[in-house]
Amino acid sequence: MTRAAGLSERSMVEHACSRLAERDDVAVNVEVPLGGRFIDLVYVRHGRVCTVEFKLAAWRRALRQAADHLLGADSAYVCMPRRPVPDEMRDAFHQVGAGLLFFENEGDWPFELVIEARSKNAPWEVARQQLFDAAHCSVGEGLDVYV
Amino acid sequence: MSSPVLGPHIVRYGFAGDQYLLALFENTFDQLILNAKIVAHMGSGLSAFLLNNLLGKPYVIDPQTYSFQHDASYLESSSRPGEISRTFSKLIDCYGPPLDLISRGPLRFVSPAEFAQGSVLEKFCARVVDFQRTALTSHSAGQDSAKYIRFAERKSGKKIHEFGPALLVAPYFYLDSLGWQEWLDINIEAVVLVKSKAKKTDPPIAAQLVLSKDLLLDGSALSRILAKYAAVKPDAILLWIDSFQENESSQTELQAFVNLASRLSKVASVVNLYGGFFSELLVRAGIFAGAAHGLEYGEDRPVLPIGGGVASARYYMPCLHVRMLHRDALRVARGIGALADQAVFFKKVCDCPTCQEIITDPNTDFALFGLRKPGKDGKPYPTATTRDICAKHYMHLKKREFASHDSMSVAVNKLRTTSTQMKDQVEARLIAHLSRWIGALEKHGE
Repeated sequence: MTRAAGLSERSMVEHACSRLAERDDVAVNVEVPLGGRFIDLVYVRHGRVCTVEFKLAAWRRALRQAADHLLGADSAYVCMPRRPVPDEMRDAFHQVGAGLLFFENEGDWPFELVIEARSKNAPWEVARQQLFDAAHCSVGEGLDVYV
Repeated sequence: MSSPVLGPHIVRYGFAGDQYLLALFENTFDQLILNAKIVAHMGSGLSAFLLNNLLGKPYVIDPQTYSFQHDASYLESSSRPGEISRTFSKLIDCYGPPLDLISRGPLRFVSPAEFAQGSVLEKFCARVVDFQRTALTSHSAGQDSAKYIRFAERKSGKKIHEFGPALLVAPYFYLDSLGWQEWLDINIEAVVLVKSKAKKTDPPIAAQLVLSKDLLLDGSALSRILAKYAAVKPDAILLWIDSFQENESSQTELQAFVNLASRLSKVASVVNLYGGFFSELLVRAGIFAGAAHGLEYGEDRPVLPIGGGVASARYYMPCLHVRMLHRDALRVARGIGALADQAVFFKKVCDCPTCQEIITDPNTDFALFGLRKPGKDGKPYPTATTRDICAKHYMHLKKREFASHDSMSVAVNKLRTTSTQMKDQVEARLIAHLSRWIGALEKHGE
């Protein structure tokens, strides 16, 4: 495991996207709109729609955003550089049902799973389909109209 | 004595794009309020619209004199830096000195002292009031829209000059914790001057009171302000608290708001210029004579910047009486199990004509209230259709709310029931305003 020292949010998104895009079993896109926000990264693997919000430090803000992503995602994650995870943080993630990832600087899978996402509610099918479709567009390409 | 406010449900004309919906919903509201800026900009075109589509609808022109007390950058043209925008220039031409000082040399604002000199304020008041009397009731044959006005006059059998404003608003300036005393003196003197120079044919005279939120919580300052208005006795008071969002305000702020409104109502008929359902409850309680909103916007407004703003589209959630981001409205609808089928949606969320037209399968069709597309800057903006149906839905609901015969106490009980029922179904933040509203109103009733 390698520390993600010196990375910005933007570069984490780009690194993660380019490595995921090389995999045959993943469809991925970045800056995907949902509910008036842009999701940093959306990927589909084994038929599951996952969202990832990247943050260097502000985990509470990221968690609020991840909570919004759950409207359309099967699993919503926050991805951060490796850091301590106090109980308060772990509890907050469990309460929302979002997961936590650490960014991995090397390897073909850019994340280390820290807290599993366990959403209490099924996603809204309209939004889920939108994220699914967006993940299957070319990276950087988007939908014309969206919720 | 009958109220000088001709009906409680007041709708704001925001921009030319509002005309179609204003005409469509013409019979759902009592009065129209227009900003002087747009009146100066559109002039006789606006007269023709009113005559053609809103014949006989009482209207009030907000003279927006507060625009000129702030940094002149707020008046500046976006395409011609360093110059006043054309619309404000027109208004400055109409209102005259001391506003001419704004663009004489480097752009600047005007001060209370410049109004206090000689007969400056008296003449200024006369011009501001005359603008309201005549801006929409006179036109010259040479104007582009004269033919439309002639057509409208023939069609209606009435003459444009018969449609003066329902209130004349004295010039006014914003009061915040810095320097409110000086501007208050100008505001009060303006009311005195406008009342003393009123013609027999003039409508009632209104004072407009625009306060910052910090003054709202300053009991001592408020008492002094109220005493001054009580002494000059305007017929009506048009109230505007800067950026006062009823559903985001604390119970303390709401209580202060109710107390202020209640005390003002003993001075004159009071209209809240930017209000939502909480203000409607104060109408039902007899505290407000009216409350104004725009077409799915304008339930609150910041004093600065002056005008403008990005078009939004929110879904008005009837049971919560607030405009919500689509994603939050969706959370509520899902939380209360309202997306199961059409009948459930109509029962639990809304059965207004727009929802009846749009919603067949709520699970998919509710998306239509939240559709967006990328703007030129890449940011998501509501589609034209989404804005349209959100505004129509909103106007249908506002019609129902203002037509409701529920007393305030009955309405408050309904809010309490909703709050209790939804407590375990939706996130607390989405319904928290209900208990703050209930608390503030009950506190006032004690």
